[in-house]
Amino acid sequence: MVPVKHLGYDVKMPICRVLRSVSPRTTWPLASSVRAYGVDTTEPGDGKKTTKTPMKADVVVCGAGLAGLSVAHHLAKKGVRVAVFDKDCVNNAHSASGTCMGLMAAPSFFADRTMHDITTESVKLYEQLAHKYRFMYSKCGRVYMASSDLALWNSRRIFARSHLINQDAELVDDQSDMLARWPMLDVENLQAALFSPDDVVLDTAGLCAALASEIRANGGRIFEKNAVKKVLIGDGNKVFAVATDGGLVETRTFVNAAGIWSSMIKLNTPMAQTRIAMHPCTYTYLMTNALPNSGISDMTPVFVDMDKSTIFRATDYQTIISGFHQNGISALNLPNNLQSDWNMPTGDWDKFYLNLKNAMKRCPSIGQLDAGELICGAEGYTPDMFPVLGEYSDSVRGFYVINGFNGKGLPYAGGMGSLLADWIIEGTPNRDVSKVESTRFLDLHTNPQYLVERVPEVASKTFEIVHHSHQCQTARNLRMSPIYHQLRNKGAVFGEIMGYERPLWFTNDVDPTRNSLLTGQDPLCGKPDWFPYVAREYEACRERVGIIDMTSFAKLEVGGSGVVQLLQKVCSANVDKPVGSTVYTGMQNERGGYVTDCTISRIADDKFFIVAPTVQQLRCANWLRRWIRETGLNVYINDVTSMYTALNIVGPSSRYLMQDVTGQNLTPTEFPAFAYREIDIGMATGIRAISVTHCGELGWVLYIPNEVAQNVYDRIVDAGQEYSALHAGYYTLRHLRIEKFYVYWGQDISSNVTPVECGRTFRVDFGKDFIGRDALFAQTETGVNKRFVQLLIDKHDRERDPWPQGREIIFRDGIPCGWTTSATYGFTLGCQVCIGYIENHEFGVSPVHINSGSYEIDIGNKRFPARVNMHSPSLPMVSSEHPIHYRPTQ
Amino acid sequence: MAACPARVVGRRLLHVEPGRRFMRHRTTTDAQLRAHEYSVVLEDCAISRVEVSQLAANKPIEDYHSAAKCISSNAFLFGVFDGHGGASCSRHVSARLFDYISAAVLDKHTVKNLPLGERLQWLFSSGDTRLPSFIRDQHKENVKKFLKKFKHDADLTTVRKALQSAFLALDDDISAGALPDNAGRVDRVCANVAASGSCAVVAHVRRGHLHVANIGDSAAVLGVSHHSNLTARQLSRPHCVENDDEVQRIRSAHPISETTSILRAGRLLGELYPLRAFGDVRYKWTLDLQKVVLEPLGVSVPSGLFTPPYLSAMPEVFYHKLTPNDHFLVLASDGLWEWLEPDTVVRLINDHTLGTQTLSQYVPAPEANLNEVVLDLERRKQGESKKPLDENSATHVIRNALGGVSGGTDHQYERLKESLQLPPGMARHYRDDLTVIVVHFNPEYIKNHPEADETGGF
Repeated sequence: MVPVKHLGYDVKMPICRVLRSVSPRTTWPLASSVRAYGVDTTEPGDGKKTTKTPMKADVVVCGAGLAGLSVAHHLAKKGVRVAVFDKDCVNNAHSASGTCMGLMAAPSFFADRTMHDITTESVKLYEQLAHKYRFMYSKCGRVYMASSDLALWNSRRIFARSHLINQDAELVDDQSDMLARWPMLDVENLQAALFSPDDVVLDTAGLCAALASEIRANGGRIFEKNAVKKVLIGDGNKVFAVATDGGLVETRTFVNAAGIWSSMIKLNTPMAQTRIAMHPCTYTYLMTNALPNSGISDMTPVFVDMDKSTIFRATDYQTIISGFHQNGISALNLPNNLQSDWNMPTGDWDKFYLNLKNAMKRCPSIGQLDAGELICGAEGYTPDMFPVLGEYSDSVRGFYVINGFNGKGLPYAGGMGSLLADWIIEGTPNRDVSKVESTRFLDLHTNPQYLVERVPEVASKTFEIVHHSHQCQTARNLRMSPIYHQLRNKGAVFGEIMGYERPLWFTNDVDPTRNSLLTGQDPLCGKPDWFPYVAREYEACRERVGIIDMTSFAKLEVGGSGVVQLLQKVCSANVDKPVGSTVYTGMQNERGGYVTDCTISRIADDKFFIVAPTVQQLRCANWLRRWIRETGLNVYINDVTSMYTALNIVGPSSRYLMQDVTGQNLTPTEFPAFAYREIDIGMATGIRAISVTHCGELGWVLYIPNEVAQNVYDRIVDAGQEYSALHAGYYTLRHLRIEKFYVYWGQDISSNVTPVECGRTFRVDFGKDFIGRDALFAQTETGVNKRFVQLLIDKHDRERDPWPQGREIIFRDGIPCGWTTSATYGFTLGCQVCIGYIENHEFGVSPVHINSGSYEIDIGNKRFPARVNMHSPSLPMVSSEHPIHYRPTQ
Repeated sequence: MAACPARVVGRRLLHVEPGRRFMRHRTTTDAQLRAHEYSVVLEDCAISRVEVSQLAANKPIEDYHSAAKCISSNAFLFGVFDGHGGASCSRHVSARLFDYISAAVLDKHTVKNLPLGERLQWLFSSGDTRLPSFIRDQHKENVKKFLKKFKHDADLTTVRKALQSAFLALDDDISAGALPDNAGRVDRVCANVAASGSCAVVAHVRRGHLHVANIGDSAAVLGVSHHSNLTARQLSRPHCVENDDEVQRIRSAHPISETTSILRAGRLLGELYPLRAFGDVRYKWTLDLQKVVLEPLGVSVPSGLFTPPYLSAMPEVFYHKLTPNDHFLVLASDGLWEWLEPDTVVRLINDHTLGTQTLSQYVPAPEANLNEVVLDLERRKQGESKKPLDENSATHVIRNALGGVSGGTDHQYERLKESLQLPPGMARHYRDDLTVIVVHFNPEYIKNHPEADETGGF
């Protein structure tokens, strides 16, 4: 065998191209390097002193659990030389995969499109493998039992999704019907039972073994009892090798799939430990003998009590009972300096008590079973209930993570493995990963104390379906603006985003000792509590003036001699405008999708101030840094998010209020829309005012240096009394912008949506060269397959009907054609308003196509007719108080 | 038996259900444990409640405790006195020491100038605070003398020094009381007091200032909450051979030739375990003096007595400024500390205050079905929310010291029964006398009365 030089790859030279030229078998000096590897234990961890050539691999995966094996499988299948290392063995008994019950939710359970697609892919993979390797795989389905209204509407929403894929899905709302179908149940106070036919039970050990065989068959290698000791980072902050128990492995790509041990992987950099926004929690289930009831077989569905977060699976030879009651879950203690491993928990009956009781209440015959074996494992959970995937950090290249599956390892592993494999090979993700990307988290999310406080609550929500209004109750009040207490004393109700508490709305209750933190979520049916307050705030912002705290938005300062050149390259709009102008632009990826959207203000010839959505704080900066690196331009980036308090002064009277507090003339000629000025307010200086309100109303966002924020706030509130200014919360902003069809990144659009698809082609300057230009240009030529529209819902009773939450299915002439992304009530339009997209992969979505259909939207399995808008509607003033009303630009 | 029907009837009458019998000996056990418990609730001061409990192993018990308030300085005094070689010394110290301490009130701490006899207000004491008349008169004289000396000593400006001088003065007076009078007569009672010995741990709480003076092997432990969990902070060091500083101190005070003979078999002169104590004049007096006074009473001279005194009553005083995080202070004789670690004691008292039982892990019975498991778990849940068996936290500590903290209530009762049915005296072979005082602090008061203006008064 001829030793072949290791063929590396980088962004410019994708690995797929490299590997296609040479057969993976020949590039893989298997026997010799295994032998070398076997002997090479004299100087572990130090490649230089060994006489043997160190082993080489394209990708080293740490962890032979479901996640690691899945990534390795997808890589190996595509011809990548992959080596999997595990400190224990494939599917080790202590890992999350080792204690996995083998119950897998169907894709329809997942409302989020990304997770839905990932799960679909997992099912496909497992089905194939089960067929080939003959491990236990039973498509027995699942029954979701709902007794509360929230669970009822959630199950109806799952049913709506499920029914699209499989006509066998059934929603049973009659108790005697339920009893006839599932006689072992106690159906008392059940409002509905949803039978979802696509849920699967499989043998996880068999699946892991099958994946391992597949990897080996494709030339990948798995080293058991061989721990990764350190990841070595070399020149250019790139991974160059991995030190393992057996010796050094040369590689340029490392995948951390070590599950709950992920944060124990060490680096050779000053911050020696990996920090990942994931922490393990206990995960307990009871395994006992079979139920005495007759007719129970392998095909008996899995039962889930949605209100009690209890699940049980009965077969003819055993019964598995589990639950996620918050009292029964605890975060694992942090290992102290002397320990190198977690203290693995043991089953605690006292903590399992409520789960057991809840299960027995739904299925009384469980009581007759033996006490059985209480099994306790640990599973990684993240602060926002979505997994962690992608590049570990901008400062370490070639280090990928995949973990934090939040108790849904089985449904996620297959699809996420494939996603990450593609990502590694192509250099960028080929799908929308905004929900799962590791860079959505800030450093604060990796704080162990924060995680210990938050994750048990996340774990308890395993069977809860979380909508956009959901707020956790733990680990709150972390980031607060300087005017937090003033706002609270005005009646603010706060919601958390990225650890930051922002006012959602303002109540009449101004008691400073009240709990001002929102927890839980809106009802899915009928008017929520905040409705009258938001209506009041909305009216103030449309007719008079409202003050909205926008401090959470990400703020960056970029400058340097090459800054104009850089921004012209990354932004699709022309940002080379005079100092003092503000441009709304997208930053596109190579496929034309939005990496982010932002407003860029030129504050000096070589200095710009960028405001991006809250969730983009790290991602936006990372994208810019990447292009600074690639272009070698002289540009610096400062994240100034936490230096400024942002107040949005919104509404027709905002001009007069601003003139009062600044003492300056702010007529449209002096301070037009889309402009930037540095102004004084009262005694305070250095306030950055940008005349963009992010919701289409007249107004200014003031970026106030934190130390003067309280002073400025007080002045504005005082002066605002003359105009009956009102505090408004984030919900009001949301209502304003959805009604005007303003799409937001992270809620509506993502890296998979282009400006052409969301009606923002007019913001793109095709006259210059920028990243993604060609892709966008091609779209304008050939048309698009997907288009964002605004939907106005008719025949909807807001008191009694289910409210849209986003992620509803849109029907065109009775055929599913797209999904909604966000929704709200339009106070001026007088109906529910959604933003959504319409897809047609066969012959595209043209304006004619959109206008020729009749549309319906399915909310909780109830259809409502909808009117479709392709452009922002022109909204009249409700009152005639201000005869000349303001129109947003364009 | 058939020939004796009356006995059969009798047996039937005497027949008690096993469950009820169990209940009955539980009641006896509880009564025995709670026989010497006592508690005081205080208002408008740094202390909210004081609880004390005692269990004898010797007969008569050699542990004494007392608590009093010094009205002239508004300071609270709590003491646990663990006697040895008889009960007389500890009994006398428990009654007499606080008079000396209340005489040693610093000028800056005086809130009310009172004559000596009215300065103390007793809260409780296990001994009789009224002394026999012939001793009382002498005692009053002694305290008066001490006061005079104290007033004239310009050096005594801190509570630490005041406590130390009070301890030393009492010890001197005990020793002097046993000396022959002008007629050459020796008082038998006083000689007994001086010949027996006593350890002492005394807490002095004045507003937010806590001083703990200790001699011997009793100990004081503070329960401090640190973030959300409670930790034990030692406020005393035992004076025994395990304390290297103490060994060092004793060795350096005597000629080098005695290095090996002073401490033999872990004891002072091979006899005495604590290395500081009241009384115990056998280790303090010269050989000649002992021959005159003690030998006629049948008290032998210890071997190796070359350069007395070997023993002192100089207390080690620790100061602690109370904060709202300080929840309670435990004073206990070594009888407790040989059973429980300070951390466990603190956890027990904290759980007691929260009203929970400290539970061990549940393991289902081998044949149990899930219905039974749920019932068991339910019972445990109720037990968790139910009040602990004893109202008094000091008794609660003693119960758990002897009954063990692991295992269920039944287990605990079994072990307690075993331990308690030993007659006093006999029990000494298995355990020592147990005395526990728990001083609960009032965090609200401490929070609202920060005393930054004052120096601690070391």
